[in-house]
Amino acid sequence: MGEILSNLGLSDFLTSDRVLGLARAVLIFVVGLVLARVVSRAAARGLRRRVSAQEAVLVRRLIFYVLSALVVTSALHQLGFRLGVLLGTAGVITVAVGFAAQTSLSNIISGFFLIAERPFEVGDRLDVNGRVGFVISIDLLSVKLRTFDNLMVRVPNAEMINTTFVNLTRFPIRRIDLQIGVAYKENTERVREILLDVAERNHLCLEEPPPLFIYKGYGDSALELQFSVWAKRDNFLELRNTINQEIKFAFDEHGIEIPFPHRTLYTGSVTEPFPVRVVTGDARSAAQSEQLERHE
Amino acid sequence: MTTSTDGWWGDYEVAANQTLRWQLGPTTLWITRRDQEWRITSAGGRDVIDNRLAIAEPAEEPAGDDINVRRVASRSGNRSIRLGPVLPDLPVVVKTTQPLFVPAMEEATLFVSVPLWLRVYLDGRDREVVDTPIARPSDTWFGPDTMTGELCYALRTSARLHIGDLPRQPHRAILAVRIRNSAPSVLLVETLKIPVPHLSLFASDKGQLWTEALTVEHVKKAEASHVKLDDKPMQLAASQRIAGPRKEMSKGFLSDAFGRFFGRRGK
Repeated sequence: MGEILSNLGLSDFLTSDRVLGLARAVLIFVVGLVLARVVSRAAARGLRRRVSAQEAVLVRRLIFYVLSALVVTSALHQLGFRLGVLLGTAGVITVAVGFAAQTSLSNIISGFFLIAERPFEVGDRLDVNGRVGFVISIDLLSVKLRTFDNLMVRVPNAEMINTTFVNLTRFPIRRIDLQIGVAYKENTERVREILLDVAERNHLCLEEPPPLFIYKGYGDSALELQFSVWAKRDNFLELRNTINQEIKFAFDEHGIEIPFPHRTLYTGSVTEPFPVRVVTGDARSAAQSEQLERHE
Repeated sequence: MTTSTDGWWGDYEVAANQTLRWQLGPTTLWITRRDQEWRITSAGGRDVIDNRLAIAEPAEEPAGDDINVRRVASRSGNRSIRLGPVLPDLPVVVKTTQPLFVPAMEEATLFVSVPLWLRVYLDGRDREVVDTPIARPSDTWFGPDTMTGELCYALRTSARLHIGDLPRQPHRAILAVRIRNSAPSVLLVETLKIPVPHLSLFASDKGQLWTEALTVEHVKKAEASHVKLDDKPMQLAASQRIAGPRKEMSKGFLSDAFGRFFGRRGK
């Protein structure tokens, strides 16, 4: 067996510098990457108590990329590449890659700005151009949201930097603006008292800041009012549902009318009154059956 | 059935397949001991001027679709339960009936009636299975603006200068706050934030619940007030501590929690 190997020159080949260099390079590459991952994770874990989850992720990634770059250059060095020459060509490559990866680089840089500015964090609820969802991650190239109907929305970091978005969970309390219309015959002072009473009875409605009652104007069919109440961020939806229901009940109880749109028919400057025919119960059912027969 | 109680709190025994009923102001509580399980049912209203009190009355187990039953598995044949009052889990904000002016170097004592939470412990365990408000107060916000501040509970009854003006209810505790104005200017007191999760509960021999007394010293405008907690309730010779604070006090408690103690009434 040994003879065969020596005849084939395999043993020389296996012990040659090139093969040993390759083995060392592979070893450095594998062990180095594992080590980079372990070190970056340990650093992030150590920092987690002192910085936000987002900054810990950023630190973990930076450490991982720097260590990975070192590992790759050491591995290449082992393979016999001369790094001086590589760096020389790097300039040319950078220009080429720069053009090709313009979008990606802009996203990466935008990502750093987003993390530095901290307009939101993982777990916050955002409204980005009408898409509302929870931030599940802030990555190198994009921000990922989970919408309420459980879809994943990927928004490129550069777009996040350029666009206007709303962070719905930045502050602990939120205001709910209820648009209410009441009939013109109603006494608005009484309506105001009923609304304030409803707000006082609902324990999710904050007492301070106090509810706001705004007389918005004279609408086509109703007096337009705005009633604004404050809620704890987490109770926003529950309060919006319960208070609307309670206002309806209170209006029904006190006989306050929420009008439907009104339309006045007018057929000209000297229009005659519209003819009105009074129909009794029997006459109405007879008219209905006559109509049905005609359809059949 | 009842082993010890001056008020409604204490230890009780529930026989197998028996239901006991408690009426604590607006809240009704039913506890049933079944084979392998406890069934705890509560129904509450929001009426804060409800003085009804019924302790461990044998009753039928409540039924109906709107009844919310909490079932707790329990293999042991243990039949003991414990009911305990505890202070709210958030600070409370109380208003004075009218704005109160405390002149320089003057002192005023305000009495506040604080609504309580009910805790139920089963099988002699230390961890409660129920922690619910007896009369749920409204939420409120205490802070200089809508961005910075703290979520609190708003008290319906205002702080009084005379203890006799306070409603005595079995499900509420009395808290005394001494306000001392050591600043050269007049102090206007309209609303007070009281961090009740840091306070303990005491029971008097007459079955009235109290917290330890609190002294707030207003030193200078725009400076945090100095705060001191007494180790027992004011005006109470014999009292027994029946519940500890929900939150232990940290070193920075006095300056942090009372950074803002006095507030202005919302306009």
